[in-house]
Amino acid sequence: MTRRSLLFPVLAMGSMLVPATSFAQYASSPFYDHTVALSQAYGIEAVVLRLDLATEFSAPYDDELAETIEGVTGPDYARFKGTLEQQDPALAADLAAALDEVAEAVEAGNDVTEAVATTARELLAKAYAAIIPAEVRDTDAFMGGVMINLLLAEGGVAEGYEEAVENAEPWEYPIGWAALQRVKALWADVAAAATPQQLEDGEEMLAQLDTLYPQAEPPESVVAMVGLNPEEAESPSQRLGGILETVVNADLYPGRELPRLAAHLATVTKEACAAYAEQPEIAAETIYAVHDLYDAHLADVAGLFAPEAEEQAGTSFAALISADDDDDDEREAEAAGIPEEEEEKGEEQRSAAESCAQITETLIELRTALGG
Amino acid sequence: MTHSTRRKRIGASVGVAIGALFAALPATAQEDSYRVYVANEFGADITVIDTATDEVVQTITISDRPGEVRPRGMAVSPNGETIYLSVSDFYPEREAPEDKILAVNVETNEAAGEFRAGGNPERIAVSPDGTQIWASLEALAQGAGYDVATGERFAVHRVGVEAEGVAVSPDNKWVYVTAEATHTVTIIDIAANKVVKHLLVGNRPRVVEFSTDGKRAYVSAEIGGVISVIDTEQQVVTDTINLGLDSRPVEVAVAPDGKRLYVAGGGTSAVYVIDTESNEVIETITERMGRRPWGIAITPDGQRVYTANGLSDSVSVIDTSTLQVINNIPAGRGAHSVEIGVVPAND
Repeated sequence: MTRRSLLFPVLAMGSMLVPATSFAQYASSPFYDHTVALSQAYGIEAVVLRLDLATEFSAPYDDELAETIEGVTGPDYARFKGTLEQQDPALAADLAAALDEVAEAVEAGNDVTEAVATTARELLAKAYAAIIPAEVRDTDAFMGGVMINLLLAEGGVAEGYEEAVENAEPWEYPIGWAALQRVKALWADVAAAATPQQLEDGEEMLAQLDTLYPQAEPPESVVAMVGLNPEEAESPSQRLGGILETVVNADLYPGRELPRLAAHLATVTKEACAAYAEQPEIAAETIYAVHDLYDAHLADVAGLFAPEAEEQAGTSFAALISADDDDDDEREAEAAGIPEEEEEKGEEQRSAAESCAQITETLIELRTALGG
Repeated sequence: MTHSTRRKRIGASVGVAIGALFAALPATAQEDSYRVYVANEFGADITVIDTATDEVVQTITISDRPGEVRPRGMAVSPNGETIYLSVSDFYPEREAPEDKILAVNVETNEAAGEFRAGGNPERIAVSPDGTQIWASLEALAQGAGYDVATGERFAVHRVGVEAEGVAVSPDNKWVYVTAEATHTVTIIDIAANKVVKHLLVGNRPRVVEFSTDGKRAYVSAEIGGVISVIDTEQQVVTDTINLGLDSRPVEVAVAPDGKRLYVAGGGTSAVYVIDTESNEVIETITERMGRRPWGIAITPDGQRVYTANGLSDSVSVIDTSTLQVINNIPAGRGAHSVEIGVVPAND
């Protein structure tokens, strides 16, 4: 029996009738308008957060923290590396060297000096300007998209706290703290557009988050896991996200229309698939962006309505990108689509293109399953 | 008398204090009286309010470990005389003794029983005949049925991820369970003891309630900012009522006459009043509302709506004839849900 024929009995359980709803309340939808750019921006932001931790703490770093900092050369970097190399090869080379220096210092058990970190930050700022057009990056809507990622995405404010408390991984806490500091800085930038009530509400939520993140180092209560609610940072983060939407006048929750999202991601993925043969790193950047949105908004519902499609998507994404920091360099190279042996190159790229095409097909199936 | 001095643990003797309390109740002997129960998630207690005076008459301690043990969803028995409360800890991956369902006798405010409900029960519903309780088990993505008399679990079904709201149809045939992460309502056939359908509804569905005639079910979608209306005979979503993306609706309450739906809008600190005939919002109540209403309930006589306001730790009282807030009452920390219990006349 084919996978498709297996799918339909499951889908028969689901409703195909979902009345359309207008979500035109806000002026823009940055996750639809700038799908890849937001992922690239988040990649840069996430690398900066790791640098912040490198200078906030001193060597010898805790093993978990060291791993977090060494992640400056990992998947977050892969979110924008290919485009940067295309846009400004010299800058890309300088940045690669700077990030390598950071990772090597940590690996050697040494401090990352302020000078090294500052150099890396300055290069990242230039990279941001090179990759994200000014007319995009300076808009409140785009900044709102960056902020909602910092609040709710993996490695963000809510998730950092939850991982630390729920999974007994206290060194997930500092990255959440660093993300909160960045959110506060960005909030100051967008707050000019806020009404007095929005300002008051937003700052109240930030104050609540500050009480959960009083310092960069995991508090004793987090280390001991005593009486803490792992989801305590989620509620104010979510509420701040809602306030933020109204302040920046943008839809920051792209999962509100699931069939539309599945269709959009299928389109974006299809465009990337064509690029795999010549520009595998740039194509992979799109897959990172698609995976983020798929994982956050579609994976669970796919598991219920179309479990085989969900399983297929998981396999295909894993073939193309690395989703966490624990993978080794070889995996990262594969993630970027760069096989080590030249004779394997053609086969690897065919495989990547096939996996990419599979993701496109799966997203189209999912759109149909969800009534789109 | 301060609230703290009225505190007691469920099961402890209330004695003279309760006797004095009833002596003070102003309700006449000919009329049922109502009590409002507010589950305070972070205070680990229940605030009890007398609707005749809109004053707090008691605070019932659920746990002496506030911040670790949280009461959340509530349901009331068909006769109004028992309040059921879902209690859990903060660790959805771990089954703990705190995961349970408590029954509280409305007349005495004493514990009337409890039973295990592992998997972080978030919200509960009572069957129309009062013999079953159905719970959404958040951590396990399950909907589970329990026999009220024995506490025995007689049914468990896989539903969507992060199960949240639950309701039993007025004809006692169907259980609907919402799930936040899959944006679904799962329909369970009680007699056949099986899942018959998953329905896609608005984004991050929270609570589901049936219309009084059972022909419709209303599902609030917090991120979607909508109420999905389900035709229960066809088992399809037939309408979507848009409240605005910033509304963040959570609990809903159907008026006893079925003509109105009241929705707690946590994002806008508003109560949306919907005409159930037209499915249109006829009023948005914001004046004097407490902050971030999540819970909402209506008295059996339909005259008052009470909201549990999580950010202001308060309860707002709405007069349904004027659709205005007429009072705000202090509650405990993290007011989450609200239900109305009934003390029968002649008691």
